[in-house]
Amino acid sequence: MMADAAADWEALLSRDTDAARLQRGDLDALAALLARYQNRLYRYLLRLVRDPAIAEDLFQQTWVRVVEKIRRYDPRRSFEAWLFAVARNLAIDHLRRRAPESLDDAGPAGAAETPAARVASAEPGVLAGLLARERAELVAQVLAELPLIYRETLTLRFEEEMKLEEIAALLAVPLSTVKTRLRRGLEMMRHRLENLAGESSWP
Amino acid sequence: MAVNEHEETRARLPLAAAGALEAGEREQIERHLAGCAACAAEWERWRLCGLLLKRLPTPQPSPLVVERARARAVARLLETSDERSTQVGILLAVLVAWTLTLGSGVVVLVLTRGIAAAAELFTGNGWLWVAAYTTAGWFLAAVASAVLGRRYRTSRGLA
Ligand SMILES: [Zn+2]
Repeated sequence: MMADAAADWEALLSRDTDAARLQRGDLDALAALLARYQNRLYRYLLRLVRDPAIAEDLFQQTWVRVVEKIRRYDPRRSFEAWLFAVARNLAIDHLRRRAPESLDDAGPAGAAETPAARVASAEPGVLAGLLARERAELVAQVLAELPLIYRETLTLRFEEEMKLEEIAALLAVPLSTVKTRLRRGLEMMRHRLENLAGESSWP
Repeated sequence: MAVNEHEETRARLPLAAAGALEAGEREQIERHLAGCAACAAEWERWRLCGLLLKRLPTPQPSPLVVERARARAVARLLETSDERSTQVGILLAVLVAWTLTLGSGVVVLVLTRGIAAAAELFTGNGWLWVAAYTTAGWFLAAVASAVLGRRYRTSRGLA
């Protein structure tokens, strides 16, 4: 237990040391940070913009922006939160240029399924059936089809495993909004997954 | 069991699946689920929903993209440190120029009126002399550059 805590603390320290070293212009620190965050950062960008080519471009822009702004980063704060905020600003700018109206979109009005409308619409086993590896692509697709504010909150919570407070800080919204988005996003996920799994084409 | 206890539980299940409940709320739900098969079945679906999201394969950027990101960031880092050293260089040059300007006043004072005059810098009005000398120097330089600038513009046919 103590050893675990010590290891965690050491990991935390070394993480922040890399960011501090990058502030002094250390190129090895840049490589270390890239290796540590590349998958998570790319996943977050891909969930936001949905297009791999755009996500890859934003991924590169993010690291350029990181070295440009690293002097303004406060090493006492979490580098991860700072990095994600840099990436998020770039992605939101991109989405705003692409389709300004879609940013605050909560989805088509017709999609406002009430909980009562979808209670026990499918057999209990259908969601479990989606757990199979080869079905993951479908789940990813359903997630990608959610409006931005929901797919972003869901990926931050379930994939990036951020704390609610961290999500609230990154999105600059109150904690209650994060909870609302989580609930609403999960409701949409479940509704669509059950519909998908219940379709006749389903083997 | 009260009807609204079922409803309250159902309403909280999605947040429970997101691990977003307070400890008190969680215990309350756990107690209810232990004695209510219908809500427990409903919970199982929400739990699976969360599990499906957690188990999504992590998409990975291609090594080429990562390498390109690193190369671009390194290039930018070197550029910015160049810009910084240029800024530091200019700052140093300005400092040196000011030191020379102010120092030359003192040197001329000592050369023209002897070493004793240097003491006047602090006690008498020697500093006034240096200030006047420096101002005159700057004024002359300004006039000279204005004249030179004017001549340059005339020669280039700009004036
Ligand atoms: Zn119940």
